Amino acid sequence: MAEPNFMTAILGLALSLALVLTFASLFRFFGRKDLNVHKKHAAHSRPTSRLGGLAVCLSILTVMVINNEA
Amino acid sequence: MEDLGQSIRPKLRLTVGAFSAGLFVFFEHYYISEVGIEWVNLALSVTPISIAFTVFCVVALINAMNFIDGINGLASGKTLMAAFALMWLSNAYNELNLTLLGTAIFSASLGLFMVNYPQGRIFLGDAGAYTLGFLLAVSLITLQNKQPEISAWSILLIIFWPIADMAHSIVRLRIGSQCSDRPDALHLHHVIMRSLVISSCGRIFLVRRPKKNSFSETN
Repeated sequence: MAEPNFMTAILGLALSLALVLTFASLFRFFGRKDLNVHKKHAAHSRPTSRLGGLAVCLSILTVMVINNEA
Repeated sequence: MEDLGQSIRPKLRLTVGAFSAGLFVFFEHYYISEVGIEWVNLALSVTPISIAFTVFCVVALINAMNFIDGINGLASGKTLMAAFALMWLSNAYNELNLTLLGTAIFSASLGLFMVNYPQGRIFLGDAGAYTLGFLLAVSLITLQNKQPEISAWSILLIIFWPIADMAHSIVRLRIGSQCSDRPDALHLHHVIMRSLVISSCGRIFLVRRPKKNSFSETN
């Protein structure tokens, strides 16, 4: 396993940003208006994807796997 | 499933959280055995009590992370800080795996934070809050078990805000005899945010629009 360094953080950030933006864009184009709007977020003016956590988890998993392979 | 529009009962969520925590304890054999209070440490010296307390703490943090996911940037920002603290502490004590996990959580949460705050273009969601809460809980427990010289109070400080918010909500709802598993807008972070807005905007909320009738009367 490689020692975590600055590149590990950059990789995680890039992956996370890419996935988060992808999920947000996909929801904007294909998401149903009533989907993913939770009661606690009802104050927000527009429906928003709640899949940010999934993007974060996928990024963490990928970074760990890549670092273990290195 | 909750994030995709299907409702899941709170008891089922708690059970699944407890099961995950149980799996962690079963496979890793890491328990909370020292909390910095003498008589509690005495009770935690009994292994079954220690295991039950560990499972309780993991489930509490999992749900606490979900509790604070009510304002843009709060849950992701808190995760950022906790992951940074984990990364810093693990690096200081030469724990390579935990440093890597802390770095991965920190960098991934930073990506979410940049999109989540301040406009809220995407939310963490229940899946993310539960997973990040679980990851933080197990990594902090692991760190404290591997390096017993790290004070339990410093670990508690890292996750203080989510725990305080959840405790406040539960106490408030229990005192009001309401069900504590329903979402509302009276969590501690909501109250503090409102008080900050009021104190910074002064009397702006007290200014009312003139009524229609009074306007027509003047004309």
